[in-house]
Amino acid sequence: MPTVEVNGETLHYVMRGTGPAVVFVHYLGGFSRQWRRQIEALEDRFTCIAFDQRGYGYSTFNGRWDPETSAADLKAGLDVLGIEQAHFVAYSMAGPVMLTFNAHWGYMLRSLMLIDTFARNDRGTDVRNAESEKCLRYMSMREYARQYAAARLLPDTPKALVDEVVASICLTRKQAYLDTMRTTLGPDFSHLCPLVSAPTRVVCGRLDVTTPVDQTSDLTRLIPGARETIIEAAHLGIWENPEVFDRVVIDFLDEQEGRRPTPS
Amino acid sequence: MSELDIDPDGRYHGGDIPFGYALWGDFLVEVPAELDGCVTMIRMTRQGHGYAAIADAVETEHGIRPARAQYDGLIASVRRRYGPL
Repeated sequence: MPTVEVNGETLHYVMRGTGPAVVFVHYLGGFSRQWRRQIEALEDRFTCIAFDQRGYGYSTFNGRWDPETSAADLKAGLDVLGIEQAHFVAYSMAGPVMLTFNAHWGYMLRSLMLIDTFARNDRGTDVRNAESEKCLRYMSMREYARQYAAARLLPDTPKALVDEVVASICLTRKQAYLDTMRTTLGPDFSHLCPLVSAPTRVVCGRLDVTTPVDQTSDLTRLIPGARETIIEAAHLGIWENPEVFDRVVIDFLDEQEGRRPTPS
Repeated sequence: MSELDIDPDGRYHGGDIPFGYALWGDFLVEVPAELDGCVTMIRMTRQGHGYAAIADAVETEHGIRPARAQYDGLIASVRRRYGPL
């Protein structure tokens, strides 16, 4: 797996295919591999890029994680790869990262897809962050992940996919996980939404209780011209309803390149 | 019940030890069978089962019966971390 050296970190990334660039930005506890289905489906017509953010997957974690730092890593990584503009697909915690990125480098966005994410997610977050911090003092990431999967994935999610979610969280450094929770859950990123000028699609799982539909709908309301798609899934539709999830992502990207008529 | 007191380095200072863990010196260590039981407890709670049925199932599947307070402690912690089940 190739790497780039940026801002004191070594970031692993995937870059496959040819054509206009698409950059996939993973969720809390994820890494680049979570996007492999979408990359396989798109690589014949897009250059697909996915980084492991600092502290996630196989990237290093020498500093701290916050949306500003992660956005700067993304910019530096894309500079190294020579990417001047791209479509961006951001999942959950990557929403605040992309809103921050857009505020600095909005000219790089050809389009933006925001999945199960938020501009403000401050309901009970003090309690949630404190409890997670306490638990992670004595729990391994594996056990934390197993309880997360049991509590959050839909009950009929295939075991292989549950195992994959658990394995992915296991690769996350505890401090990166906690930094991410503290710096994305609680702060308000709403003021950054009106700065987005790229065509934007907001996607939400109807059963999502982590970032409920009303929170994602705030994004739709605040981002000029944004449209919303609700799918049958909870927070991790990428695993819970893969066929529909992939169709929504692929259709949106193809639509941006004029390959299909805009669905009604 | 008393609140678990763990310092930032993971050192145990007092309070109820969570189901799934045992004290080894100053640190909590994982008890694999109990941790498997935790996953069963969370899943069955989501399915709407009550404590008695869950404790029976955990005992049958994992050979360990959680006390009511241990079950309540686990589910309260999971709800605080992840929200409603």
